[in-house]
Amino acid sequence: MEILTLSLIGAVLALDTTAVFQGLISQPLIACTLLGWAGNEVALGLQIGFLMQLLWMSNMPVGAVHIPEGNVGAMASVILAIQMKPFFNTHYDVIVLCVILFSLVLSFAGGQSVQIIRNCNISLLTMTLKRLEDGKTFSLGLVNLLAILFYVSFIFALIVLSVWIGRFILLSVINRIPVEWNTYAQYVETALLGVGVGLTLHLYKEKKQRMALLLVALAAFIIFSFFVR
Amino acid sequence: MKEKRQLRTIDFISVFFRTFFIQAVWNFKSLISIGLCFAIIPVAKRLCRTKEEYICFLKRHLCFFNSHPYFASYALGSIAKIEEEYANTPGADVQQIEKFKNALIGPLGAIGDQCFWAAVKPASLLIGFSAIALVPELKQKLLFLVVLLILYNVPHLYIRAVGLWKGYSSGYNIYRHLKIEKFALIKNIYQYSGAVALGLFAGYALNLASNTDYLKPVFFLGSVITAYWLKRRNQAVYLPILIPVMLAVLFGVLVINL
Repeated sequence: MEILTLSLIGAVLALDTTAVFQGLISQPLIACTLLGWAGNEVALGLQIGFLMQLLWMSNMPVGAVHIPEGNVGAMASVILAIQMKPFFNTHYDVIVLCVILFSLVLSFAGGQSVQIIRNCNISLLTMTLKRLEDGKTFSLGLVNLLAILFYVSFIFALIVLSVWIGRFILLSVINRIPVEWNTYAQYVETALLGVGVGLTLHLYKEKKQRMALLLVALAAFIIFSFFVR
Repeated sequence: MKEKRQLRTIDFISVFFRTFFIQAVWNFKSLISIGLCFAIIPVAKRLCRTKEEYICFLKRHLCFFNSHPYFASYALGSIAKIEEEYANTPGADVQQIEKFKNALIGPLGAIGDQCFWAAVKPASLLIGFSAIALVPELKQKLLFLVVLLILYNVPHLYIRAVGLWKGYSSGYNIYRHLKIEKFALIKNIYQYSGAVALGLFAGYALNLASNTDYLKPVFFLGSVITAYWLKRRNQAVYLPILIPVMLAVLFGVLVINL
């Protein structure tokens, strides 16, 4: 039941990515926190959203360009992480690694889903134009509603199925993974944050911006190393 | 004498709220035309006297159109003005409206992308992100999520509202407002703020990594460089993430077993 509820919330939040409002509530930092709050795991939601946020920052939704749906991937991964919470004491780093990989797969699937949805929207356009050609009006509010419902349903199904499959696989293997293996994944979070910084650097191409960035990074490193404990 | 058809404030309020659905029916054939048409319906209902006029109005605005979703408000305001003039001018050329819309596609997309997708959005997220990394308490972190949303949505809502007003005030002369120089201040402020926030986080994360393990700062910097280089080299999306993560696992295995 929890998976269904959270997946529905996730699918509604995903509307904010492009379909409705676009006020950043679908971004991993916010959406994952909201999902975490809905699943009584606010801190976990924020943590997963924090790890995922920078990964997709440099992909800009310009025109008809095809980008991965990192938001959908992040939301699905936090729902999966909430399901795996009982194993965090012993297998935290392994679960984070699995959740990240799961998120990447879902972001790809989400991107493909959006292409399918956009192609299906052409039929709504065709239907509207045909009715107008026949001299009949057609409620564009209804067209919008149909498109939104279709989007939510599609993304909901995607999240639910993937979380169920991910949970099934993880629960099957987690108890077979020795606790010692958790230390193999100890550098994954650090690597993820570094990846996020490296990818986001592409947004700042001007020399002055990069100089400012580098100087602040150096200053921050020095200040935190010697003056702030 | 026919009564002059004039738009009212309530029509613009309705258009404003409809702009939030401008990309709801995004499709590869007409892009955001359905959303644009849906948003401009209050104008059609005010200006069109007959069903035939209404149908022609809708068909006119269901043609191909694209724009940044927030900057589409400039187009909507201008279209409202032009349609109002058209409705009150017998024999006016309706083709001008379509040519005008087509000419707006480029500027609206370019300015919106440069201002919001490249500046305001990443900066807002980075400022919130860095603040969340730095503050210790959960409640403080959640507060900065709210700050992040405010930083982003104040310019977002401002552009939607002002775009409508300026578009309606300017009509065909909206070009005077659609120059990147007019948005340079907000763009530069957000871009430099974002760069500073990213630098702040990078310095903090490197310091944090150094305090826990002597290998973690190496991994952090290595991941930064690897991801940057892979993205730059072949514009890959998943490789810049997968390779450093897999290397982290491989190294974890080597470190433990050696």
